Amino acid sequence: MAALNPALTQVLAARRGEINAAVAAARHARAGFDPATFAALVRGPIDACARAVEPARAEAVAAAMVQVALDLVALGIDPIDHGPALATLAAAPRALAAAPQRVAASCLNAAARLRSYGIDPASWFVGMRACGPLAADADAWLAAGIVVAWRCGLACARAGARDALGPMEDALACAAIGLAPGATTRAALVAGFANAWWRPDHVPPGPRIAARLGDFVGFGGAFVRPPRVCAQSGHVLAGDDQRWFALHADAYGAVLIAADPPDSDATTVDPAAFAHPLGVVDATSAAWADHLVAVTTASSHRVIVVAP
Amino acid sequence: MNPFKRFFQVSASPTLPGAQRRQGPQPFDVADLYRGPVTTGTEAGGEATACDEKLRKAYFWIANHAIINPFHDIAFNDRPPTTFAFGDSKVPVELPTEQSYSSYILLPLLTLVLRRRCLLVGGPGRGKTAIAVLMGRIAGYGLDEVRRGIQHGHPQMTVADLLGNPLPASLMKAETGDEIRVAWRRWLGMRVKVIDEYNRIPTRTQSALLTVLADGYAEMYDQLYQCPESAWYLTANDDAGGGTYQVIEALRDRIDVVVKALHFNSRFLDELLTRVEEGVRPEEAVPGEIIFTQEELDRAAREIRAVPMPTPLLRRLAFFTSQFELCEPAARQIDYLTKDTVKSSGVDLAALIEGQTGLDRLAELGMQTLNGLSVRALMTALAYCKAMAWFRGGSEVAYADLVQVLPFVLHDKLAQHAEARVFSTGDGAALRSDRVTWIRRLFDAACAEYDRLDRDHDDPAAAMLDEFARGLDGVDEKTARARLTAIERQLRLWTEGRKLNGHLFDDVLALKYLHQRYTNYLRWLTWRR
Repeated sequence: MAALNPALTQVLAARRGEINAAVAAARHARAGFDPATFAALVRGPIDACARAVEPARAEAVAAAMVQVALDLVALGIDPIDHGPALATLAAAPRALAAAPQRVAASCLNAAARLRSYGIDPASWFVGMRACGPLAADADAWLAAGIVVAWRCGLACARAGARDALGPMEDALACAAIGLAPGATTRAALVAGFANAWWRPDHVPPGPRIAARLGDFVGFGGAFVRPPRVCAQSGHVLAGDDQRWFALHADAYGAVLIAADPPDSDATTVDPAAFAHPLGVVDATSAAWADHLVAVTTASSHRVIVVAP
Repeated sequence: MNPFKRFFQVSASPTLPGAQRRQGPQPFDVADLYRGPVTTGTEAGGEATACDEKLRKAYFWIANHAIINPFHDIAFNDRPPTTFAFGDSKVPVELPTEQSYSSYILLPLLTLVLRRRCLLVGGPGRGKTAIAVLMGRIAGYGLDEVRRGIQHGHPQMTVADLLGNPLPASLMKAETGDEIRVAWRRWLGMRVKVIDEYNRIPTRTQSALLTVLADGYAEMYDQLYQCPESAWYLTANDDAGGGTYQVIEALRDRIDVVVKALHFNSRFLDELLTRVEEGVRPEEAVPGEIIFTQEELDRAAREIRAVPMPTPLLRRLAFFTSQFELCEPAARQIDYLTKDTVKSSGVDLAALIEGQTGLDRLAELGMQTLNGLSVRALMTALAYCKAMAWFRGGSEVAYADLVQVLPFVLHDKLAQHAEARVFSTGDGAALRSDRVTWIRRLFDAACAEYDRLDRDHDDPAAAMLDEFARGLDGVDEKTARARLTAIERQLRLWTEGRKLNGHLFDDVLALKYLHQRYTNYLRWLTWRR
């Protein structure tokens, strides 16, 4: 077995009693907790991170990463779930060295947040690894993370992504948007935000079904029964009388964000108008707001998002 | 790092989604992407949490980490719940559709913000003192302070043990009683007061306790100690007279809510094992996030007082209240037709109630009790209803708040007439011991009658009282006489029903009162002319 980074060894030796107590408490509290996974985390991504940063910062990074891993144990979150997230950190040595605790925790939290919106964080990790070497510090890498999250389908982060791109270096902006270095400029990217269905990597087609989302709650979806849609305050809302969501959609994806039920001033449009173009015969509701049209049908728990 | 950090974990906001005023879809904040369970070390620390949200967090921390209490006996539903029936007696089990609570945790918390008096009843080792200690901790006291402040009732407890002792030096020097200085016990100055096993305190000491509990001051050697407004937690293993001493009536009457400590659910034994093995003491690990400052407790009390009580709901409560005081055979003058008249005369009230004829013994709610509701009980009910609505994020008190609060407030306030017919029919026998269900059924029955009479739309006495409440300024002689005639006409109309029941009794007295006020007004108008 390869020896651990000396800085990490030093941290583990200094906090041995504390770490052992935390792991013992986790074993008592959760039958499924395996101390070996914690050990694997220390030997794998935490050791890799300690090696990736400049030696002067290795001990601080190792200490922060161990602290984060202990937090995961204390919170009842199996740290092995977060191995890929922690492994991503090694690809951003300058960001990690600048603010190890903040960067490590943010990366883990973002993975959990994306999963809660139904987005696989694996694609976000890939994007973040590409941005890692180009980010000069923690702020730059985390700003790129917002753009990557949006590109992975977090449509509600669209405005945040545009703001994040504003002051970003061109090379980092290209990497965040998934383009080769020099493929475009930051200014061109920001300008493209005017059209929600614009993507820098290909020409958008004409009107089309952009997404179907929601699904039956029994299959991990959002709705107990086929939902209906309406528009209010510039948002399309989708709900089934029990739960309501604001629908966010653009060229990179669509998500549902929990929202309050609509008020009496919410508006709808005649669903029959969409029956023929979409090829549906049982449209039950339709609504449009801003840059999208949403349609529901009697036979599906999914909301159809139409890009005009 | 504390290895038991999970004990410091507090539920994330919002604990009651939808409790806040609806403002349409909320914009997504990109900063949320990096917020989550893992601490980044950059979280804002000073952001103020709304008091109701903070109390809900305290509730869920206690329910999830401190007290092993998997009960939800305060149930709320926004649609008909799924129900199952178990056992020969077909005990219904309802699955609440809205956020529901354990009375054992929620009512002590509401008592804390209302600064009232809560009695915790239950067998030994059920966590009565533990919940009281947690209340002290949530009020901002250190663990040692709370422990020092607990008054443990015992048969030899003296007034000096409870209140304090005269300082020996001043006792020697004093020439008059008011020169004696008293070393008051420190617990008197605390805003959370815990009296453990109060029914083991001797009667004389109970009287001294009554003064502190009811009037907020202690007296000794002509010295007075003014206590701050406090939340009280009293514990008793057995509230049915099984303590060493009988609890004096006045002390019992001052208790605002009674909460029962329920049994331990054996399915949670593994949690006990963890606590044994790890030496975990929740009262030592109360997170700072749920500890209230004095200012926050004051603010919460103000917010609760400001929660409106809708008039239709108040009328429903009034209708329920009116069911219990009337005792027709008690007197020949209508003002004295009460159970109080009988009790103060020494006549056997139970026999008198049973001797009444012409009444439906199952439907007449007044026949199930030996008393009516006191002003204190009603004020307490109103305060706790408001607190419940506030805790649930409501903009006003809802019917469900009232239904859930009443049984705990009236638990010891409504004296059961155990020989009443209703307790020997159907499942009535169980209601003798299950007072919570009994009071809920009383309220349900009163509301059913209220609806049958369509009192929301047909309530002549309420209409007349409303008319009078608008004031007499500008009311001329003709109008006053017309109102007097209307009152007399209404009273005559009611006499045709022959039967006098609780709500009619109160209505008749109210119209008699109005008649007198208009008569006096008319006399004044005539004199002025």
